[in-house]
Amino acid sequence: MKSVFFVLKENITNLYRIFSIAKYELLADMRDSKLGIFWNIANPLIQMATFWFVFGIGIRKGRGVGIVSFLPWMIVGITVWFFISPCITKGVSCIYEKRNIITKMKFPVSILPATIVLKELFNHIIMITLVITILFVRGHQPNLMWFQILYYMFCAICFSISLGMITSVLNMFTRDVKKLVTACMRMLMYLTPILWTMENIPEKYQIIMKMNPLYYIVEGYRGSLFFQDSFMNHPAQTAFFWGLIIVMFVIGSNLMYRFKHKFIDML
Amino acid sequence: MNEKYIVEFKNVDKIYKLENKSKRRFAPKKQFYALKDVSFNIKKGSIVGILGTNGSGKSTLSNILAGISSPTNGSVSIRGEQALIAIKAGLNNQLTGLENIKVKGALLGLSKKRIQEITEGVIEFAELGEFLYQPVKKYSSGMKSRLGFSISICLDPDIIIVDEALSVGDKAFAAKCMDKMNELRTTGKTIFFISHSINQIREFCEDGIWIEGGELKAQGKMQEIADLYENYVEDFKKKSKKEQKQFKEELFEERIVK
Repeated sequence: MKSVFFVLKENITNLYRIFSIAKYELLADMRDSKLGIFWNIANPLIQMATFWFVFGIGIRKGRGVGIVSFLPWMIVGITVWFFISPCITKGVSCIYEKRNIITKMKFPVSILPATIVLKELFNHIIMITLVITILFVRGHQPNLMWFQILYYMFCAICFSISLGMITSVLNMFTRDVKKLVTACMRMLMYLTPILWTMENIPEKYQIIMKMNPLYYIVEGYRGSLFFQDSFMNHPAQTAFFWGLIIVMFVIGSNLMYRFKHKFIDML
Repeated sequence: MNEKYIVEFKNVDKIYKLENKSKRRFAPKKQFYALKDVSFNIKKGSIVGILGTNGSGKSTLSNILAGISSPTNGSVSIRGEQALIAIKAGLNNQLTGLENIKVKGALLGLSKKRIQEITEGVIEFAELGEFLYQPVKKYSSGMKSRLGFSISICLDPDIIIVDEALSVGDKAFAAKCMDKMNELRTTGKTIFFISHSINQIREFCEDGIWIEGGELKAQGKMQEIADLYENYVEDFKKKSKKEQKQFKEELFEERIVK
């Protein structure tokens, strides 16, 4: 319990530090190329176009999902994926990448997962604004339920930070963790119904797939934007999701707390 | 516990694992004392020079002093905030000098207000001129060090640890840094100074610590410690190549954990 309070306190008292690190790392990334922020938007758009062509036209032959056509259904899902996926893959190496800093100054290591998530959140907010504009232009009626994506955004943030706390510490023991997570993410991309629907999957497998926290978040975004589906309609899934987050956060903060002075010896 | 002392080391060991020479990955690893049974006390406001040859454990000691690393055995108690002056850490090559002041300031945990306060001073101290608005990747290594040092020194810790930080940059800048250090010393800060430049240490420090082979050899007034250390180095130099090698090997053997 002590470790949870320690990590929460370290994160809350260092909000300005988290914000600055994220801000200047984004800025440095953009300086790296001539077109800068353009690529943050162009890259996902190019991928979306590819997926739409392959899955929407090629495989589904233009068939929609329920009342929604495939293209908007897919871009909402993939936009969420483009947020969570880099959070997780970069979150793994967040401590290791900062080895030059943690060996040279006293540094609150437990804020590092949050800096990664904040950095990705910036890109995500640009993308989701763009997506919502597209939906609006395509004639989707805005309604209050659209604001529910803020709740699911919060879910995604909590999930990424909690998972980052665990994986980043483990990655300090051995860099194999990074490889393992990258492999798992490649698998998860297709095991989460982002590009395809679960309608053909037998009932018993559906339950397992619904235990995937990414499923909860991705379907939540879609439910809010297309189907006026409140998270209150899924009490079991919601309880399971937050239970999982709490367990992960407790494990993560314990790891952080236990090894905070040991990282330098692991390099 | 004695309130008089700002830093107390009591029987501090730091043990590292050594990788095996052989290919057998699961053979028991040898353990190595980076520091062995080091004890000393430092009064508040002291200026302490730390001497030792390469690999004697100076950097390990400074990491423990700075709170970056923790000892394997023994106890360390430090009353106050400590800061290691790390010059090159935390500078981002893509960003300009001005932005880097904000980045490094934030990394060190300064508040936004405090960063604004120090910016002016850093710009002046680092003497960057027009280069302030250039990305740091275009800086010469001297310029980088000046920028890094200027930011680090603006922290307001109770204990400052300077590890080889002043051996960069030209003479003029080194002199300027020494002036700044002297200024800090009048404000009652405790300073640990690690350097191979024995003249700098003699000039600046009052108390001295000499570690060799991970063990505390001597502690006392700086001038005496420096004399002892210089004699030791001279003796070592007088030895033949073969004797030197044998001496080093013996020293290493003593540091293996039995």
